[in-house]
Amino acid sequence: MIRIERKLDKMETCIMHMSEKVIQMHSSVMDVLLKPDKTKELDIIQADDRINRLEEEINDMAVESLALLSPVASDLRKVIAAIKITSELERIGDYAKHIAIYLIKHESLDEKVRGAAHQMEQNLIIMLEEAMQAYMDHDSEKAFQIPQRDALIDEQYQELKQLVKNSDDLVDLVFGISSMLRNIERAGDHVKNICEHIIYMIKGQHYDFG
Amino acid sequence: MNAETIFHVDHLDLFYGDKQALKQIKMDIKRNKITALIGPSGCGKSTFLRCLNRMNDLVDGCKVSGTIELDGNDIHSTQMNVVDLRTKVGMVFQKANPFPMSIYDNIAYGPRCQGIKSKKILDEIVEQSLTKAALWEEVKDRLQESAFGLSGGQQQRLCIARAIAMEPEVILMDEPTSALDPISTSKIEEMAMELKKDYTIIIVTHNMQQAARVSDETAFFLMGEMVEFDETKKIFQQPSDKRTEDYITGRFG
Repeated sequence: MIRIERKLDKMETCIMHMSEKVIQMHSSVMDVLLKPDKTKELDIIQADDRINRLEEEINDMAVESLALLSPVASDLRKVIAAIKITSELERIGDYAKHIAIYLIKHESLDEKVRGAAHQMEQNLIIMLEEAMQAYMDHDSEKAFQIPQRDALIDEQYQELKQLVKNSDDLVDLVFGISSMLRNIERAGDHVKNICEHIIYMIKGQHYDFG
Repeated sequence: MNAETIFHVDHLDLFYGDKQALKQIKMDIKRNKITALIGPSGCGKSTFLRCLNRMNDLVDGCKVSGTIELDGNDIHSTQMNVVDLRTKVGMVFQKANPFPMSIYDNIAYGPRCQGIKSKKILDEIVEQSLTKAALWEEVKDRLQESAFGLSGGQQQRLCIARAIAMEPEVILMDEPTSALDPISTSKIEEMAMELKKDYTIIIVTHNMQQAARVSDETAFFLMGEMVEFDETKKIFQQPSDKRTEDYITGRFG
């Protein structure tokens, strides 16, 4: 294995590690949606710092490989994809933190909303896991299919927003709840971006899932 | 052949004795561009370069077939005068090879051979050639000194200036910076980028980053075949052939 391959392998391992941490954050969000737990909510907020540090570490590795190893062609695309995917993961981590902050402030959030948000989170996690598997397997076919699940998350988001608007008990909270749910919806968009970066990495083509 | 093509090469085969060094090369090299030829040692890139001004004629047992046209004229035709061809297609080698004479005389040598005797015209040629080769400022006060007193990088630029003095259309460069330090390399690269306004440059290089930095188009050679020829940005971002990818990413060669 030549040096750039070893470097790229290490970067890939770090990105997978970072994605596992982000998935863990969203799994914890799922848990606290069903069963409020302040300690766990605070853990999610703290975990975000580690994610930010991982992003910096991976970016440093990418810059170092650009400076010292002059990667070209597929190697170069892997480095560029690493930088971009890391940035998407960092944002997806931020969304988990934002939800945790909201939940700390709104312990008595309606059960229906919690249940529906839990379902959205479930779809998000499946989508993210599949995307990271596609990244590891260099599977562009899979990367093309994954964004379909985002449509489901968007649909759930719209339905839930409507439900909140139409509910007399919740109407006062409509802005806050919508913002909280929007974090999940936006996280889904970032997973779609990850799929675009995977396709670029493998095929060298730009693809816009919208 | 369209106007932007300076060299049209088709079905070019070359044998050194029984050994085939080039196989069915087909390439259209563009005017006022820098074309880089890359590939592992022994792939045929330097052999191909030397075909373009018939330097291989000097090699015993070398047989060439196929077409090479310069501005639409077959360079192997009986009408083609080899000396004229090499005037139009100048060459710079890996190792700088100044003549054992002054800096001035190195540049004036070719024009004098062509019959130019006027000191005024020769002075102009020397100044213009050295200026284009980005050497004038460094040597203008010591033109009568021996060329051997120049540094390696300066000697190489002197050789480029010497080629320019003959008013060529094309300058062939065979690993022109492989023996130079990074500063001299950078000067020659910058100069090449300037020179392409007036000349077509074809450069053989083992330095992949150099090909990426300076050339507009890149051809990848492997075992006598031209595997891929495309815009440099395409070759270094998304080559079409797996062998090109493997070579430029350092997987073999």
